[in-house]
Amino acid sequence: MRRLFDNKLLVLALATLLLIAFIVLSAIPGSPLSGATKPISIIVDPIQSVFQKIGTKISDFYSAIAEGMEIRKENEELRAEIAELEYEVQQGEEARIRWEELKSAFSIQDSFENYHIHGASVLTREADEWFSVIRVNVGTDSGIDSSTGSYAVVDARMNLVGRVMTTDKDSSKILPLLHEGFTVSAKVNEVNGATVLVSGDITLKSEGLCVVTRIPSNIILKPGQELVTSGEGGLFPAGIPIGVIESFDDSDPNDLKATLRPYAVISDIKDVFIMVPNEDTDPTQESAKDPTSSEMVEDPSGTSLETAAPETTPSSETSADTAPETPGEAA
Amino acid sequence: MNKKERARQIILYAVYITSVCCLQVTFPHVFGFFGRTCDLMLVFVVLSGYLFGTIDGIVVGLLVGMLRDYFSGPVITGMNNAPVAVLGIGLLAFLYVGILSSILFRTRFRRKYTLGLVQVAMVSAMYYSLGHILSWLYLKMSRNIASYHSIRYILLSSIFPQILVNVIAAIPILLLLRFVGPYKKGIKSGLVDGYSVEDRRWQKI
Repeated sequence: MRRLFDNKLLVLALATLLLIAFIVLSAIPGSPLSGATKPISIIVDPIQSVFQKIGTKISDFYSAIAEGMEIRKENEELRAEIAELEYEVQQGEEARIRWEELKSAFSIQDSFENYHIHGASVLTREADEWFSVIRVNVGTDSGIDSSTGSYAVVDARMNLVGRVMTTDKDSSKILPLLHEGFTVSAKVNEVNGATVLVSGDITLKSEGLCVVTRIPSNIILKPGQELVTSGEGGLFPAGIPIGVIESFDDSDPNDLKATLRPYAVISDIKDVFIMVPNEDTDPTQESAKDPTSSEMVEDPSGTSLETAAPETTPSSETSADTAPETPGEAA
Repeated sequence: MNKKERARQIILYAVYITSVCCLQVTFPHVFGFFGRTCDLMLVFVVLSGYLFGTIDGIVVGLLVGMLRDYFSGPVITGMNNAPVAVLGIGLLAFLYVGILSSILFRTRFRRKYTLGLVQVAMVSAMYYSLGHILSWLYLKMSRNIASYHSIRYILLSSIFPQILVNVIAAIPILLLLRFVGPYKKGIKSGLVDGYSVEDRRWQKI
């Protein structure tokens, strides 16, 4: 036996086979190996948080020195702006009361009101082209549990960022929408807008673009047209803004394609929001009907924040065409 | 190796591995040049294997690979056709990086620190070339996606700039391992003893 292990090549081959088996097992849905990172997360997450805090403090300190003069000038402008805004807030409060009255009278539903929204900070970003998952600082302890389903992730302006892949005790992995494994059913944000499929593409990722496929043959997408989630597939609620059409390729009538520039700039995002449906919610029935509403948001420290509602007005869902979301989930 | 040396080795490796991994994925923009981010993890594994031998290369490679999988593991299409974050690819890749780094330049060259930069460039080129080949094969086989980056893009926008930034990042890491490394004076005594023949002496400074 000892002689056997003296053969270094054999040991290496065995280790390789073992690791390949480990990779294959971890790819099986519900595999016990998906929990293998939990012990690592207990040790590594606090260390990583310390690094993040130190880095942020250094960055803030450096910014305070470097931008001192600029900040002073900006402060003066902001004081004047505050005075104007205070007046607008008073007017806004009046409008809010009237809106509440109208909402009650016409039974208008708030956008995404059946979702609980968890705020999270980005902990880690991609390591290279292939190790490209984002990690955020909320996990099972905050009520995010990927074993019960995946969740949509949006930025502070409610634009789509990606989806939750896996969760640990204090952190979760997010698949960004630029990743080639990401797909979402989308629709043109117009009345009777066509339903299409938005996916990440390896060749467009470096330019910050996604590819739009399954475009109905009678549809011409124009640059600047907005796409929002269609709600089909059940993972993403309808009406989340994704981005705008950048270009449209109709050279092959049987395979119409377009490129989309997402609103969310993944590399700049520091905070994200995870949309967890309330237990009695059917995501397919959810639709953003009210562009002026706001959501109560829980920030990472556990306190409630108020966040702006999307600036779009998603239309009603009457499209004839359908496209499944991320493969496997439509089923 | 006495207890004090062993403690120094373990503590410094633990500090460097966690620091290098956390820094790369937490502040990628700080370590970015020419549109690419320095692959500190890869550079650290290469230099550990190159300077301190196969065992160190394997252990450091496995630990760094594990953290790479944990922080930003790759995503593949799983068995139910949904994307799955897999574990183990970083472990496997960095195990080989550690072994390869400790083997290259082993017999034909004296182990000098400047050659460590060449080692980093060579292993970076191999890692990124193989990564692109496997990625293309995976997309072609699993999802029948034929479109991939052009050769020009792979060479000029991915591999060459990445080699350049990795070599730049290797300079401070090399100095760190040499002067404040896990071994006193940057020399692993076992390696020198094992290859004491003048023509094959390692780590001659």
